[in-house]
Amino acid sequence: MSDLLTQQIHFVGAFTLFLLGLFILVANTNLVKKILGVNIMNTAVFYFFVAIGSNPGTQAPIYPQVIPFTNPLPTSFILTGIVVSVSITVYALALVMNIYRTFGTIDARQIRLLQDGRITRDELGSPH
Amino acid sequence: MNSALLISQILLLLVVGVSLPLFHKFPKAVAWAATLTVFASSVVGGLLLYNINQTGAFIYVFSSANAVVGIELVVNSFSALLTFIMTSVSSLILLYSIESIRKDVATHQLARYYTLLLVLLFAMLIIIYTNDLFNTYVFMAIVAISATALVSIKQKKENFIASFRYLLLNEMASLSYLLGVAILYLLTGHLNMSMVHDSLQPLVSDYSLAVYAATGLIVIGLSIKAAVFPLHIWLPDAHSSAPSASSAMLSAIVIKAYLIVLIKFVYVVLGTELAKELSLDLYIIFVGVLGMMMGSFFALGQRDVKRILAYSSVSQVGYIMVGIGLMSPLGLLAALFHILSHAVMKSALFLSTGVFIYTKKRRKVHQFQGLGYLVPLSMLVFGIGSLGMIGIPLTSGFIAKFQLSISAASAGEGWIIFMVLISSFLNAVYYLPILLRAYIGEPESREHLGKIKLEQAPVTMLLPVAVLGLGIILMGIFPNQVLQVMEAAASIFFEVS
Repeated sequence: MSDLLTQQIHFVGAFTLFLLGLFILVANTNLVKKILGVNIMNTAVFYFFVAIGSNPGTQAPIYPQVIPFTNPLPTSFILTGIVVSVSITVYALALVMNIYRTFGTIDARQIRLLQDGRITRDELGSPH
Repeated sequence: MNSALLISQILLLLVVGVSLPLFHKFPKAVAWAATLTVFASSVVGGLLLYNINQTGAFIYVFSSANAVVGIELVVNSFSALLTFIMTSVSSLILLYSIESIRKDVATHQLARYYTLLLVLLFAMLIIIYTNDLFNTYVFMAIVAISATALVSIKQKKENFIASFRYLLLNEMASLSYLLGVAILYLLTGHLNMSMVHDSLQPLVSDYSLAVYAATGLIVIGLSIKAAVFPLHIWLPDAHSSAPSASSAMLSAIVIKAYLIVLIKFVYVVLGTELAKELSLDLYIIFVGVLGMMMGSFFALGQRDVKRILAYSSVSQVGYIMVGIGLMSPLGLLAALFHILSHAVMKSALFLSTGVFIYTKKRRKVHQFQGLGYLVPLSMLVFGIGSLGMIGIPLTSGFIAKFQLSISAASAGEGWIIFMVLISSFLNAVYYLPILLRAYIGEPESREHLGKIKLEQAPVTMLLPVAVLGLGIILMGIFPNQVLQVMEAAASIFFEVS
């Protein structure tokens, strides 16, 4: 296993974080926690980009130019990625707000039961 | 001249799109302005396509003359053709939505609805033109947000939950794609698709794990977004709960944009040789055939017509995937033809279903008794569309399946023809009962029988439906003109290798 992806501890860390976020997204029934999972996945990808760009012993590419300097492109990708991630999060939270307003719960399992008509809104119990 | 056409085709949508909310006091004018904008954009796209076929492809570099840092927009007969198809089908859908959308969307939301539609189209055009992997990610996110908002704008219970699921799965897919792109960037130092292709070739033997990981992540991400079979779970809810015009847009146009990204990834970034080396062709054909079958199976159990149409999209995506996976000029030609044919057929089906819901409030199959006499024109187009889906000769669906079978046979994969036949049979099993009910079943009240009159829907709704129905027939009878243009588009990816 001496492939490129396992050479740096950061790459392994980024993949672990990505899978962790995926697990949180899939395993939780709470919709807000699902959004958290997506955010963790986002962070993992940003971490990976940072790890690609950085090299030990290099400095930030700021005028007057120092050589060797860090590759600035991955950082700019992350900036774009953060904007995308924030807008998706905001929109998802707005949807959760509306879901809570209409269903009275943010638990995916209870919402499914409500949709199938197997329980009514009064039987929900206390919110998680 | 050509670059001016390109910029106006794209920017027209963005500029008009973001300025529409200023005029939210005049919803009718906003609707017409949006429709005319998309129509103008499709006319410009048609001009561009004509020019490209005369003078050849060109590359427009954004923000910098240096292609390593700048973003390239590649305009060739492939991208110009697909953007032209998308804008012209959408202009029909927008014309339809002028009247129909007022029943689904509150008046103060109307301007926002059109902003979303135009921004969605704008982002899809960029996705098709761009030659940059990261740029594709950014615009896929824009497509994801605006497409999801087109579902949730109806403000009903089921819309919120459907669009939430759609949004999260889309974001998951985007991230999977982005991680794959990051690995490719790590390997090659490029994001430009052609440059990645050039520098990837010598790296494969040394870094096979990384190449496999990147390919897997990107293909899985795009498969979720394009609703390829095992990853289609978000589609039926989202597409069936959306307003009819939005459903047509999402089902006929949006999932195609992701399939085009997949085509570009397989043919431009990897190239057919490398893709075969990674046995990506086998995977794509496998999931394609699986989707062809299972999409139809799931559709059999549905009672809501819009859900049937949504599951039918899953199976049609399977056909396109098989065409892509064959990795031959003929296979790609079949995939491209099916992209067009499915865009026309599925929007015809969704829009005519929209007329049933608009005029008669019927969307369940058992309510279709005698609908052929109550809404004759729309039911006729629905019939043409479903016959096309089954693949009856004289419709574009037949040509698409015929092309696919020819290409499968010439690639030595004869069993695919058998699978196409079974899938067509399954399509017949769930489309024909609807038609039989509509034409042979007795209507609930007999008062309308004997005096057939055109339905009460506005003419702006009926006109697009009629045009789409006519398009299905015309493409079925005169496929050669269309196929010629598509052959030019498909051959682009095979010139180099």
